[in-house]
Amino acid sequence: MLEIERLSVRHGNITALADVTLRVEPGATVCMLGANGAGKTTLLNTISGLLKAAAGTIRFDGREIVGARGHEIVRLGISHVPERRDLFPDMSVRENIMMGAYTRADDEVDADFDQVVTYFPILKERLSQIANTLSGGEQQMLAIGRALMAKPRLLLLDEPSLGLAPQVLDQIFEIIERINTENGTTIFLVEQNTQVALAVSSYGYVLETGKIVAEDKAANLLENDLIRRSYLGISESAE
Amino acid sequence: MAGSFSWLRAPAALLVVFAVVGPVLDNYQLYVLSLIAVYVIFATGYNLLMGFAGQFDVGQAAFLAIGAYAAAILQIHLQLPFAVAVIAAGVLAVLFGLAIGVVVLPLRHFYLALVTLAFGQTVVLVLSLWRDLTNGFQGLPVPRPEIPGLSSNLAMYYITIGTAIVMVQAARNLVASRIGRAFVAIRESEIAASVLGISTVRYRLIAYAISAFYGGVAGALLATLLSYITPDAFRLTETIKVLTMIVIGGMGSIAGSIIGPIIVILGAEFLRISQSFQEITNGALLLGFIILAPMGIAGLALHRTTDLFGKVRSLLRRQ
Amino acid sequence: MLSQVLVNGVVIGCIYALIAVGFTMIYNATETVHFAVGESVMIGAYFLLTFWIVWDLPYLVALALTLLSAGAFGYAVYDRMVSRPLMSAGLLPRVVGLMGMAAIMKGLTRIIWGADAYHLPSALSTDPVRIGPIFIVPQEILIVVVTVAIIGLLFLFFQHTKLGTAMRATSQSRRAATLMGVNISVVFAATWVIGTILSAIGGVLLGPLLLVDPDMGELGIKSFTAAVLGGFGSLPGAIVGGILLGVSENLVAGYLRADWQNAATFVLMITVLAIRPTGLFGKPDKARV
Repeated sequence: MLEIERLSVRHGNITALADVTLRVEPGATVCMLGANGAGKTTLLNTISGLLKAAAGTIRFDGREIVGARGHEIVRLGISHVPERRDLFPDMSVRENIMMGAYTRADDEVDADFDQVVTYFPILKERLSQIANTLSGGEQQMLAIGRALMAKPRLLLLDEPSLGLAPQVLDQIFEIIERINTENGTTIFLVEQNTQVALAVSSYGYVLETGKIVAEDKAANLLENDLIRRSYLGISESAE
Repeated sequence: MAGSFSWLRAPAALLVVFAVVGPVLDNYQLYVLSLIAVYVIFATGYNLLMGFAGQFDVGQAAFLAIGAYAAAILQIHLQLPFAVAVIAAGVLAVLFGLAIGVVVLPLRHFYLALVTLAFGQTVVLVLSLWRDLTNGFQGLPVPRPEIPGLSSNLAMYYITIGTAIVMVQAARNLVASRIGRAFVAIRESEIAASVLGISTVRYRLIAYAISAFYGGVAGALLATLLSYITPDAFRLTETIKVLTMIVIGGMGSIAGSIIGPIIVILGAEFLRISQSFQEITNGALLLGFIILAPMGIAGLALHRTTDLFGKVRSLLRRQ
Repeated sequence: MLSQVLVNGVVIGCIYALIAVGFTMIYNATETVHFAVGESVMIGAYFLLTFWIVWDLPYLVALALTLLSAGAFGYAVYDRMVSRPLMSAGLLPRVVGLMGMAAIMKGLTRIIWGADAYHLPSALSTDPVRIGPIFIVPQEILIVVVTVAIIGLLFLFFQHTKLGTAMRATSQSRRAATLMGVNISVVFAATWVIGTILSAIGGVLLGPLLLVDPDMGELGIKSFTAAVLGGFGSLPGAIVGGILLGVSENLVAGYLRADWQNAATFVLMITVLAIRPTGLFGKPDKARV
């Protein structure tokens, strides 16, 4: 579904991503692990057209999308839940959710709206509340709900665990799993929180200073002692 | 010891060249060179504030106006000698510069622009309404200094060129000094500057004071050179003119503060264009340079001009 | 006396409010401080003068042409020639670019229409009607009605249309709006078009009250002051700020001296920024830009 080959991205003179190659199969949940500043957000922003690639290809359903602009990529079926949620702070919860359906003109929007608030019942109670008055967990739910409204085939999640209390975190990752199994939406998520990410993923990559340094089935990554100590251990001790 | 005064040589040589050339020039050439000298002073002061210290000021013509009217009024009403009037004009402008500096201290970026814009327009309004002192829109005649043995135009030429060379040299020394480095640090990041122990309050005020002094002195000389001043001459258009000069010359470059006035004034004089066409060409130069070569001619000379062509190409592609 | 001064102040304040709303929309969406907003007001007045008086078209046709031309101007000149080439350059270069464009427009106006001041007649009668102790002319009633109608329409536009929602979304987060599929370039273009039309309406309404001349653009500072009074970036603030400014000006003119009227603008602007830079409705974080 998503095939990235030898992708490089530069910020000015700094190489943010170098020769990144990865695949996400249809229907899978795949994660990209790595510490802060490894280039995870850069990778997602490049996929969704917010950043320009210096070299390499990104294919979605076999179609080259490098060079397409941000607002065009959503229409192809890729929704991106950005870093730090990036909600519309002065809009209500309802308006935020409906902004997710901006590209759509079909008559199933209302039904999808109902489905989103079924996933996140708490949002249903707060439909007219202004987004920036929500708690961190509610904001993350809103950001995911908003992205679902575009009916994506591929959902990109940027650190959904960021700043969440443990119970909220479990709740959100449970929904992420359900989105994948019930809707059949392919999920590509970048995370610092290895344990949680690998628990919902079938395959994982490890990114370090812009390069992929390891990849394997999620179960193997969890069991690989070297990986655990070198890369994943960091986040364990940080928890 | 000789080494530490080596910077004196180049300006001294320039002074000698201009002094020797002076007597063979006709009145028109003397006038144009004097006008360029006045604007070099004005632009240098503006560039210290905008280009070096990064304070976005769009009311700079107010200092020119304050200097011009102070010089005229002090000479007419108090019979002060010319040199004293010019220095007093500079000092008065500094007082206003400090006042504006204090008002804008808590503000950043375009808020500075808004306050200084309002300040510039207030000065023009006061000058046109305070008729007892300024004669309102009728304007004021300004006396010319008399130097025995020199024609009035040649005297103005020596005064303006001499002052310009001294003040430009002073600006070069300033830029190379601790103060100049503090200006640049503040422009790049006030937070970083204050972390480095640079007092942003002090240096921002210094920048306003110095640029106001340059503006005041330039205003006094301009009034004397033109022999007649009206409030209208100091409207926003005048600030845009000097903004054009430093943008095409090069923001944050002393050389740019000399190149800009030469181009803008010679351009206007050679083409003999009307006021309206001058406004249009200045505006077009300003817009063109800020898009294609935001660091001005001095910047183009430093970097490769291929940057410019690349920029033109990418603009054309995007359109 | 006081009620008369207040009424006159509110009337002119309505026009300032309209211009300031356009200015604020542009600031919110494109992060551009529109330093040529006064020149947009000016071209509105000159366009109407040309279509209505010079070409002798019926008023409504001339008005429609004026607004269309202003919109086209907003797109072709501000959006394509200034805003877009400087979008990645930062706020200050955009301000400088707009100042350059303002100078070009002023010079062109002087060449095309001459340096003389024109008087733009009123669309409606200027014979005062007496309402209680207050005299008001039909033109002034029109100004208030038009302002209220336009602000109402804008509100509906922002709340209930797709483009209006996209404009609000863009001003809250450009990145998120892009990710939702909003084409930011279209939003910017639409903002320049609407903002310029609002300024032009300001010029159409101000024309009969002031003189139309190439320096008319200097009243752009009134819209900056209105925006500053209300709190930069706040649309309700721009409306309240505009009306407050109109009233203050008329108080100064009525009780102090008529030719000090403009000083009210400058003094208000400098005082507010010196004492409370966030204005009446501004958010503290935005004001610290």
